[in-house]
Amino acid sequence: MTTTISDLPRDLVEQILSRVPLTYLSTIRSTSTRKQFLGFMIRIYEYDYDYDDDLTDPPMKKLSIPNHHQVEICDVCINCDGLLLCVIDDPLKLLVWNPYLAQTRLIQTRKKFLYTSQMHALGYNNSNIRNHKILKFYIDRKKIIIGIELYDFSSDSWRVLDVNQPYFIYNTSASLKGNAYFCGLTEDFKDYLVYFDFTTERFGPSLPLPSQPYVLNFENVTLSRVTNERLALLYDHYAAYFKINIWTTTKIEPNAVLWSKFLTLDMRPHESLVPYLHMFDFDGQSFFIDEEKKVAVFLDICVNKEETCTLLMAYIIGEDGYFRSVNMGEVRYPSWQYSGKFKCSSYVPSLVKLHV
Amino acid sequence: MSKSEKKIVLKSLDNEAFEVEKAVALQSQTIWVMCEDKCVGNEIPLENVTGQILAKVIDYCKKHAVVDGDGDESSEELKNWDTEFTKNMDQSTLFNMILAANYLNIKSLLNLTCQAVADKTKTIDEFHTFLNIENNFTPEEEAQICQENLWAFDD
Repeated sequence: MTTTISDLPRDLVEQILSRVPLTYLSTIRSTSTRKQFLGFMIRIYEYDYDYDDDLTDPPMKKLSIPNHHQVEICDVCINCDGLLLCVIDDPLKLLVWNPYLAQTRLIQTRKKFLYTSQMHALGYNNSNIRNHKILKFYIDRKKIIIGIELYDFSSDSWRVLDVNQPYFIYNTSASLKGNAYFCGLTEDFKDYLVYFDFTTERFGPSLPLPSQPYVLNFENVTLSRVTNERLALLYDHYAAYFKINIWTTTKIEPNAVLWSKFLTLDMRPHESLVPYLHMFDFDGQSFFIDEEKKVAVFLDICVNKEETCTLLMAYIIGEDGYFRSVNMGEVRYPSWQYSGKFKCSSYVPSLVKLHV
Repeated sequence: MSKSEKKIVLKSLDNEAFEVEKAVALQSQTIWVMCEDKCVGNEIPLENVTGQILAKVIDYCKKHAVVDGDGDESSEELKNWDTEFTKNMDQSTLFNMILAANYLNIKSLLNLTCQAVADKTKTIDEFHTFLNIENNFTPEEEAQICQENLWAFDD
């Protein structure tokens, strides 16, 4: 039997690729635009998902972070341009990782305000030479934004950004064409869509969301990227937890956005199968959709039948009760520690070098 | 140490037995740990490696072992030997060697074989053929992607 490169585990393939001159690599990238799936915790998986396959044994590979920095990943911002921005156990550092090239870059941060939490987004300016930047929000206890900083990859430095800033943003963002999109909330509790333009380094105008929630303060909105051109948005209401609405953009321009309803998911039939999903506090969670198959993919954990360990599960849910699950293996977090630990997103590899 | 203690038997997946000097086998960290743990006798079953591949791995280890004053090869000679060693291996054998080196945890052999795969790809087409990757992009699309990625190569 002939052994091919596909028989090799991912880390060995990376060892080979790391020895190939980059000009050759660019052509590998061009063949790898299939949708891919990453499940994050401290362990990271890549899973080429195809619903026609038997999902009881998915072709899943574990990606390990090149750990010469000796850090633990605490949270991962949804990817932009094939890069992942990771919050690590050291509060004064961030880690950017290109899993495809197995490259990382450790970024020193400044702590401007004490006792504040932070949110991050990754983007790039849209000129000929693409330059990546990190946007960092300082958020007070009431979740109000009190300051913004910007990190520039080319100059390796942070600076305070003095711009008109949103009052409140939800803990969700998605990257389109280098810009970072957020869901904001006005002081009189109106939801809207807003983006940060990494080229002009300004926030764009407030754009409409598909609908206004009917129970103030008890809803969550979550953004996801469909392609580099379009967004998906998930509404999830505390008052009607069993119903999840997903919308996608049909048009998105600097001053205009149009939405169309993609899916309405009734979670009630899956309640017994998905112990935690129905009480989604979607804050900090993530999802992605497959437009062709009309399904959404979520991550959650569950306890195995013998109640000896906790499993990370991917749930693929569609209309008319369509439901499939993928066991992604054991995780060491007990359920009560589960909050935004797992992120998923469709992923296209890129060759962005991280100039270590 | 008696003579028998210095020898060790490695048994391949397809039940081929190889008797080698312990110093040769211990270049494999995996075997070293097994011996250290005393969880095996003098015969070590290697369930992931075929006899054909194991024979080549042993050749490599013999060459690189320092056995009783036998290891006075100059580094230049060793390097040349390494090049000859991988030169005529086909792709399937090389990938199997990589898997075996990884399983047996022989770092220098893993480096050598990975480098050999990378070196055997001089052109883009060769690279696709060698890695068995289908190029499903039109030349226009590929040119566009290369253009888009120009920034990735700026240092």
